[in-house]
Amino acid sequence: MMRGLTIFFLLISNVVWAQQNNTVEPYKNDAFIELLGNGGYASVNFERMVYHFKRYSVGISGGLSTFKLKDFEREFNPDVIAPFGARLYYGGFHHKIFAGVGQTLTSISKLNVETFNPQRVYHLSANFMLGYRYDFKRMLLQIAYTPIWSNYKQYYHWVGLAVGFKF
Amino acid sequence: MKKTTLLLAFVSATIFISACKKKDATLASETANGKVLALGHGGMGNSNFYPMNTYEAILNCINLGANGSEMDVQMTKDSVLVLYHDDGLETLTDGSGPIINYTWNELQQYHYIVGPYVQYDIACIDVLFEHIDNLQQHTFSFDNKLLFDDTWRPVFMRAIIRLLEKYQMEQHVFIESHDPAFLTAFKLLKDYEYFFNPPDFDTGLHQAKDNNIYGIIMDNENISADQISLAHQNGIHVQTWGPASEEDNKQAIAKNPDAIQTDNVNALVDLLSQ
Repeated sequence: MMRGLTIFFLLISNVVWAQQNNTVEPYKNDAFIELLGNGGYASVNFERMVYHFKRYSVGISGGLSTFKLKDFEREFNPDVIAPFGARLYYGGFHHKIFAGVGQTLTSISKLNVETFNPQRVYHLSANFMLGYRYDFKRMLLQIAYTPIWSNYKQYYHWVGLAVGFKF
Repeated sequence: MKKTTLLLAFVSATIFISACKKKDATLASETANGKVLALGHGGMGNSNFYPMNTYEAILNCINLGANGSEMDVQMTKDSVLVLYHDDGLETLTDGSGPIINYTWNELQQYHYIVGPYVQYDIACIDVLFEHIDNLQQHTFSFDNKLLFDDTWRPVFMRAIIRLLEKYQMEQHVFIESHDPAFLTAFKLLKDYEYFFNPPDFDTGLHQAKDNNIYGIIMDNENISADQISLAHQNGIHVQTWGPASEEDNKQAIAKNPDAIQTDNVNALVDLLSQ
């Protein structure tokens, strides 16, 4: 697994080096929809680039996701999953690799065994990112390994696939 | 006068036609008992966000209007009846080993793990029954998982008897098993409504008739409308399980069983209420 990842990133690094002539990043913001990823099953996210130096840039992002909108009593009571974090990008305009860390705040509706009523349970989880991003014109595509340390108890190997728009 | 007569004739004809249509629509719902019971499969079925056999899954199923639910029943080593499907905790939870290795207190430290950020408690039937409003208006089908040594069987039966007596649910719970010996042994203790889960219809019908068992339960795909009709002619009730899509549920209803354990509670409840 680790060997495969190492080879993948070495190959990507070569592609990135080949893009040295074009490192200007004209857009500071992007919004993307991620399938799986740190939001769980799907999330909408916003990211702002806050630092740029030569081939490096840093972005901070926040997202929003849900698992279900109604609780077991059929009342509107949505789960809220809000991943946020920071990413370090390395590469040219088109090809970038990135690594990131963050936290996910969750507010999940579940049953309170004492009262048998729905209650909201709040947790923080850690999330990580290691991926590749391809930018073209104002669009972006990215694929990443996005493991989640759920509630700081359970570790999930997870991946994310995102498509977005820069502005 | 003539106009009034014509109007009355028109209204009568309309009511008659509507009644005929309604009769056609509900024909499929008429069984040996006069209706099909809509039961969830472990609550909300096997592909719902809530894992099967959790408190949330069972309550959601009931709140959607189902008559009740099938549930997978196992026993802890201190004789507490809990809901769990698999042989070991490791497949669905953060625990490991069979339920019978744990006391109820020990078991409560483990949770269903269904994906990042969410986890659910293992359900105890006593706790569940204590909190369901109008409990006796619902029907539950206990799929008994006999995942322990045979010497535990009398203890397991007594635990079920105690539970059903405590909540006066004797007439509202079906007792299922793959093992006819378990059902016949249980039947010597209590005259509940037992359902045999056979490998095929012919075996099921013969075992049910020979042992005077209340009914059989089969995968909806492995039993035909004719076979269900034959079972009814022999005084044997029939439950089916497994329909997931709306079309599957329509076909399941058309076969005319006494109860359907569905993986799509919404669809079955909607179809039966039409």
